Amino acid sequence: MDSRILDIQGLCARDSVEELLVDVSLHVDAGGRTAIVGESGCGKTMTLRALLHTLPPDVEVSAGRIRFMGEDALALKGEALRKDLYMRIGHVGQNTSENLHPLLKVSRQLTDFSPLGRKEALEKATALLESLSIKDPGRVLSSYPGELSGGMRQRVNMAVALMKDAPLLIADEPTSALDAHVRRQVEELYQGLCEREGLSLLLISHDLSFVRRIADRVYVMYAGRVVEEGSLDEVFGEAAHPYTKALASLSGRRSLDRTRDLDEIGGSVPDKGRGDPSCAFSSRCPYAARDCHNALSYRHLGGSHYVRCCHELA
Amino acid sequence: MSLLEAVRVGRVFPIDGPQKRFEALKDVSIHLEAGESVGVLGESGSGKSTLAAIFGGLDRPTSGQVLYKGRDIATLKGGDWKCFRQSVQYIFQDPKAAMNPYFTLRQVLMEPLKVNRKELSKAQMVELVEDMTARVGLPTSILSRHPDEVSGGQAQRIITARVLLLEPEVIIADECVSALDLSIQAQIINLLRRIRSATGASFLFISHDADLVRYFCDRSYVMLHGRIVEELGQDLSASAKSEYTRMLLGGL
Amino acid sequence: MRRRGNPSLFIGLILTLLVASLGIIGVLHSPYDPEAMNLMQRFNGPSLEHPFGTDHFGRDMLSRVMMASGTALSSALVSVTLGALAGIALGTLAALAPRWLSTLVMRLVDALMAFPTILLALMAAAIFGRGLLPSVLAVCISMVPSFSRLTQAMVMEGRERLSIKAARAYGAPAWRIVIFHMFPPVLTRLVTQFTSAIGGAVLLESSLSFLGLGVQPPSASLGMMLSEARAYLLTYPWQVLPSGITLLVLVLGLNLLGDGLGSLLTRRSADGL
Repeated sequence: MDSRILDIQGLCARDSVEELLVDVSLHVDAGGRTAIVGESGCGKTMTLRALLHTLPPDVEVSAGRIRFMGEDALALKGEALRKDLYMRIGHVGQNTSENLHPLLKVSRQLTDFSPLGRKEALEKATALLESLSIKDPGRVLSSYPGELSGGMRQRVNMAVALMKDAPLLIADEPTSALDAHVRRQVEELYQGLCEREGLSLLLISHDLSFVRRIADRVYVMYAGRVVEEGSLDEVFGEAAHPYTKALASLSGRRSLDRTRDLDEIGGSVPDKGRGDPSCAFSSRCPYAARDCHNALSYRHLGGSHYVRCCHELA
Repeated sequence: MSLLEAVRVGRVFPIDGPQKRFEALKDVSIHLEAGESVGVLGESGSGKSTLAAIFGGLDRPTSGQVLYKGRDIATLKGGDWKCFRQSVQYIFQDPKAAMNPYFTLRQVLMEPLKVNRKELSKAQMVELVEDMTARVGLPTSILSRHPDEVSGGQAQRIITARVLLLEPEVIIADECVSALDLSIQAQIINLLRRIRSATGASFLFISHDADLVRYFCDRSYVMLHGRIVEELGQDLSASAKSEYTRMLLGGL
Repeated sequence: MRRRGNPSLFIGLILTLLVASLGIIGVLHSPYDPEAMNLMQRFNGPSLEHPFGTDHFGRDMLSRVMMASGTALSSALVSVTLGALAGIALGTLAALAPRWLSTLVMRLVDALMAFPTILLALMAAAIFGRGLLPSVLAVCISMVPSFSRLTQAMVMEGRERLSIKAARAYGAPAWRIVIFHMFPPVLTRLVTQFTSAIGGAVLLESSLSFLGLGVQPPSASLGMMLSEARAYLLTYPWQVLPSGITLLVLVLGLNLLGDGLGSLLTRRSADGL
């Protein structure tokens, strides 16, 4: 049996005009908690959509393979796709209010697709909601999504994903645009989830302080490529890519100095020329030098720590 | 006399259901002085956006009044109303939705000038628009694109430029960065700070992000269920009294 | 923006133009007088002199199809234009008027929708006599509800859009907001609806004249030609083909054109990624 539940190797995706993902390799260990970080437009969600067969109609996978629980995930079709992929992956989407059907009660959304009988499914749903620290699951089950608060909806979404007993849970930006204290609740929920036996987590986020509390392995993506990867300590403790450093400097908001400007990464993620073998970050990079325009490859920094940058940063 | 002031404002929406009415705002009084940046903190659904709409004259209160330089805006007419309308401007949460998708960005920026500065010639307007585009840190080549062809951060800069073209005294920023990445949030906040020191505009800064409010504002109001529950000084957590506020600030 | 081919638009345009040019050529230069009978030449099959053959009075079918296509298209155009204008006006009124008035208008529209068009045509025929005018009137009235509902829904939805609020915030006057901000998205939908409605109107006009309520003999209309050919269906079955196929091609073409225009005019919003 594979020790990796999800293994993506050399994934490339492109639309009719240009490349969107270039040579993306990443994996989730069985029982591991992997995070992909980066700004919007870096290809995090696109990678996920390749796995879930939900790429936009004009985008196709042009190279690479995705193995999920030993099967070739890209080749799955029809019933096998549903059984071997969708029923084995719990997916908590980006926008929690849009992922719930507004006209169906929570109880139906939790139990409808379950193979269990209705009564057992309801019992399971109740237990699940309780385990997500909802005090009165009965009331939540008989409400419509619109009657719940943001934090509650997030929990219900997680419960929907967990009802399948899927071995892999994918969470796409679970904290974006949430109120501060709801965010903390969500953090605690995910921390609690990690203790669950046999559950692997793939987390997608641009919020590094959140990732730091949850993940054990981190991939930093920029402009369709992985630019740094390693264990949590390697990537955050000894960040080697200027982009990783810049992202990290953004998340320490608690002690903002009013007399100074906020740290920012000037410019924006380029949406063209991703296939170019040189460094895509060089236009925004404070360390940029002439070497950056040469073709780049990954440097091994010890352990499982790799970086795609030509500078030796202390 | 405050620059802009809401006095005991209430707003009731008729809804379907047993109650028939929903009180989004209850007896809210806030004021904004010239050159001041005031934050409004609260959870989603606490009435912040309703307050923003009423404070800037986009919606009418069902009770109470909004005073602009001491005059009730409901009584303003003709030129006075135009003057008020021009001097209070909005930056919204979703910049792309705030633009006409059929316009190019150039048309988006030209329209407020065409409406409010009729004395200018076309060439002068184009010049103003291009200057302002550069001031918010965008290349003028972007102006020929449509809103759906730019990123969220670029769109929010365009909205900021559109607001600045009217040289407003008050800018109401309603969750203006919460839909953006942290890196882009920082860019926009820094831009707003530069604008503030250059123009001396007052800000009503509505956000659920206490860290940003503490960073950007001189003092703040905390909203809960349509009421102002507390008024805080610049250093939010030090002056917070109620438990709700402390929870909101993440102190618990 | 990435563009893909738009086969519906292309095929729809070709089919529609094909029938439209038949109609136009018919007006300018018809090969024969479409009403001239020749009892020596009844039920002739296709030949060089008569490419579509001749009918039971020996009239040239090509000339009759040409005349009929012209009538069908122009009467559909007139009735849908008038119906759409009335519908748009009512819909805008219903969206912007105070609640009691808008309820009144929309209930009237509902009542109109429930009223069978055939019955309407019969009533019009009873008042104005048989002929083109009452059928155009009936088709026109039957077009009002769909246009008024569409307009009302889109204007109501448009009023809540953030871009409209923003335009009000920088002081754009009401006429500017309606023309530049509310109308463009409505317009694209209306153009699509308009094109498809013409297809529907052609079909409706044909069924009315099939029943003898529309254009009167000896003039030609597609529905009437079908109805005449029906009498000889067992002996000369091909008689239904010229008018039947023309009708099919025209309606199919207009519907495809409507679809194609729809996808052409709808600006795709960015894909979120």
